[in-house]
Amino acid sequence: MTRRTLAKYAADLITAGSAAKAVARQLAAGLIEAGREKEVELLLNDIYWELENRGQLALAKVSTARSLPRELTNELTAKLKKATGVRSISLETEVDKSIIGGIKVETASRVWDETVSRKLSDLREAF
Amino acid sequence: MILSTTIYLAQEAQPSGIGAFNINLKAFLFQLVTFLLVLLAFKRWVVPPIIKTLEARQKTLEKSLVHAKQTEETLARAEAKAEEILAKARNRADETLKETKASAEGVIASAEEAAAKRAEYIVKEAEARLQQERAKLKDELKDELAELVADTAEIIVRQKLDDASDRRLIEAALKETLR
Repeated sequence: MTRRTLAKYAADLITAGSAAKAVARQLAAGLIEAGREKEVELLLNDIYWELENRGQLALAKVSTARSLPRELTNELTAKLKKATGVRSISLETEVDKSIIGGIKVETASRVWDETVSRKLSDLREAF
Repeated sequence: MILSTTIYLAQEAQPSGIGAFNINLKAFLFQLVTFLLVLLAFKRWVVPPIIKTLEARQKTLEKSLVHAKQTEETLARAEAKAEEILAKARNRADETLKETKASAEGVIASAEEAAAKRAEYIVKEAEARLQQERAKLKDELKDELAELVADTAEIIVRQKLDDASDRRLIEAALKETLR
């Protein structure tokens, strides 16, 4: 069974209302039995991609140079729902000083990079 | 011997008739016969070989003259022929010299043309290489300048970007990008 098929199967179960933990256990058992433990991370990304495309859920990894204030987090969640067209958003925030400033949002299928480091990189390449 | 005989006979004879002239007829006849005999002997045995020898000598001389004349003619012809050959050789040498000169001029012109082309090619190649080097240097300078500008900008932004500015940046990003 391919990883894509497994991801679709898991997305079907979650969409149908199965508990995420139960689905996770089932998938983990299957991967261990098949000796494909190393694919866990990739499988999770595929499942998030499937759920995002079905309009169910989007996992957004948010990187900023400073911790994001609550009101901006709420605004970001609302904006992401609108931009991705999903019913719910799960945010994973991290503080990364290397981006200098601005914000970077990454979902399973899209990336918005409005960081200062990216703009400086663009500046280097523009010459 | 004939002379002594004649003198003896003259001393013996007495003049009479013709002898009045002190001529001894017998001696005279004897001398005449002797003379005729000698003459005949000469004519028979001495003169023919001499004539023959003279004729042979004359023939030889004539032949020699003819031969000399022929030799002279041959020599003249040979001289004329030699002159002709010399003239031909001189003409041929002149022509060859002209041809060689023309050929040498052609070779020199060809060599000059080839050298000019080669020089032009070298100059063009050098120009192209110089152009490449210049473009490369320009690119390197551009990259270094970009790096310098970006580094400087990064330093300035890090110094100037405070929490409020960063928040404004994030708000602008949310407003502009996530629409």
